[in-house]
Amino acid sequence: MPESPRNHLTDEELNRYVDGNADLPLAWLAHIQACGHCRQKAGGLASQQRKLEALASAERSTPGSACADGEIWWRIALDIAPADDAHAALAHAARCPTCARKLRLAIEDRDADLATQDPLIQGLPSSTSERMAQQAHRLTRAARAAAGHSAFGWKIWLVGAAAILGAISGTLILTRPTSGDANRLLAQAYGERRVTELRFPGARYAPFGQERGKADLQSQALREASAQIAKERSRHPHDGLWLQSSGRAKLIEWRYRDALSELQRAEVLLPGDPSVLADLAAAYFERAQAGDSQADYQVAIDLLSQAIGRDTNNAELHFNRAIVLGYVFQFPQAIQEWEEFLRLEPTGDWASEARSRLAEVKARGWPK
Amino acid sequence: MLSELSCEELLRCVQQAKEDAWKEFIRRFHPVIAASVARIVRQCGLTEAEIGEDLIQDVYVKLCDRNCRILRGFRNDREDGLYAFLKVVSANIARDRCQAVVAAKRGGGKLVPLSPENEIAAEGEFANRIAHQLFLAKVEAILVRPTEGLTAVRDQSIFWLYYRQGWTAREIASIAAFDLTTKGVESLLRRLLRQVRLELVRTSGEDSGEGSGLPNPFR
Repeated sequence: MPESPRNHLTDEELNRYVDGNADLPLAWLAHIQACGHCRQKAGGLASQQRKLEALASAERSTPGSACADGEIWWRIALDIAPADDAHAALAHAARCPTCARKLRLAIEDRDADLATQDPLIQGLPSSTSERMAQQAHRLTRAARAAAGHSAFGWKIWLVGAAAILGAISGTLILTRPTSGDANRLLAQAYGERRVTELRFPGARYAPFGQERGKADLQSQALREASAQIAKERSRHPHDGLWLQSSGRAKLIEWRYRDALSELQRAEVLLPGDPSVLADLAAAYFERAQAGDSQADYQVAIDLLSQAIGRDTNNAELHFNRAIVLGYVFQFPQAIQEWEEFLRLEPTGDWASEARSRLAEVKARGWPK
Repeated sequence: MLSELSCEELLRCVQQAKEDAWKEFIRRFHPVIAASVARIVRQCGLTEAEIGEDLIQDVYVKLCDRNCRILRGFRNDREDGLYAFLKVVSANIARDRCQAVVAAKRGGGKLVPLSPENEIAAEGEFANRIAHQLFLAKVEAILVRPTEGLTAVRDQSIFWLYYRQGWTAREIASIAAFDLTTKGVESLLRRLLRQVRLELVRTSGEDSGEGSGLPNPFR
């Protein structure tokens, strides 16, 4: 067959050839055999197809700041997510292996055939009717307590609920110190000696000093908190709130590697909790300070942004993001952030410091 | 009689912290919660019954959390709807906890740092990570044209779920938000693939190589 352009296969015909359609006219096949131009073009299409098919195996799982929280995936799987949220999350998952995996797991969970006669279940105390009745009683008390104490925040209630449920094993958690007690001691320790520029949750104002992690400088409050945490951590190794407290103690001691490890685990147990995200950001900030790593500063900003997304009016979070933004030279954003902080907390010592920092960023373009 | 309440009515009573409602809720749904947790515990290779028991308690705590926030978000009066809902929610909570337990057992919980060593080296069709990223960016730009209109975001998501995440057309079609059957997904993918492939050849000037023995999902 002559290689006249008039006889070349069209793009659509070449596509069908590359797709391997079985019902192609013999004349097309004969032409491709004879025509270098069409054969070469088909080869190009095939080569691009191979690249597309290699994409999945080249994907690497690296969770990022844009990753949505875990709930959206099961909501999508169950078709109970608002349409706009679902499409935005799906667009992200399609490009993010970590989130695509979470979505796939949610679909697997939805479609799983459950073995309700599983021996593992049959042997559990909670499966007996007596325990079920006790469970109902505890849940009712927990729900009533939550409704009556909602002003204190869900985490405090959760600790209370955990305490009530802990009674299953005959343990009276309510008489023990809570992670909230430890956190108050840690905030006190920070207030006595402020070792980081970032604000510590719930702490009173203290001027920033540079003495870090010296054992002989440990306050009584820090020692007391550390002892409580060590004791309760051994009792509840998988309790996210105690892990968080432990991470906070390490932050005050400037042991950022240990803090990162503890807080990353806390984040797994308390996914999306803004206070954990903020603590994790503080750990990355400390590591950034130690190694002058721009990447760690950026991670801290991303984490704080996630936390602010969930707790918009938390002034401490805005204060901390303003500080970190200065370190990555994002001065306009830092200025905006200081102004937002001052809108939320216009008076007091923290506001005075913020005004001073804002003036410096404006004047010199560099944080204190 | 509480046993005659619809799911929606029962959930309303549960949210009002009525003890009898909780009893009925547990009577109806404890088996699915426990079975879902047990499935995940086994998947994670854990065998300790105490872990299963703790995880079931975790699920109940989570269901009570913030004035039954999760249960309040459920809107479906069908018994099997709530059954599926609790199955997925329980599995999700259990998996998060199990992964933490497994990580703790391995002494893990550490993030893998982003460093040049973790970048993909020459792999398959791509010379390196950069070549892979450039190709993705190119396809992303090409995809804009064939996916114009109201369904653009949906169509791009489907294309990438298939090619980047390796999902099957059936898996994609199982997501109700896409509102497509398996055949519909296959047809969309075929259309997009053909346009993207042609545009890639046009823009790359690459037309080398013989078209040979391609694995193709649409044969």
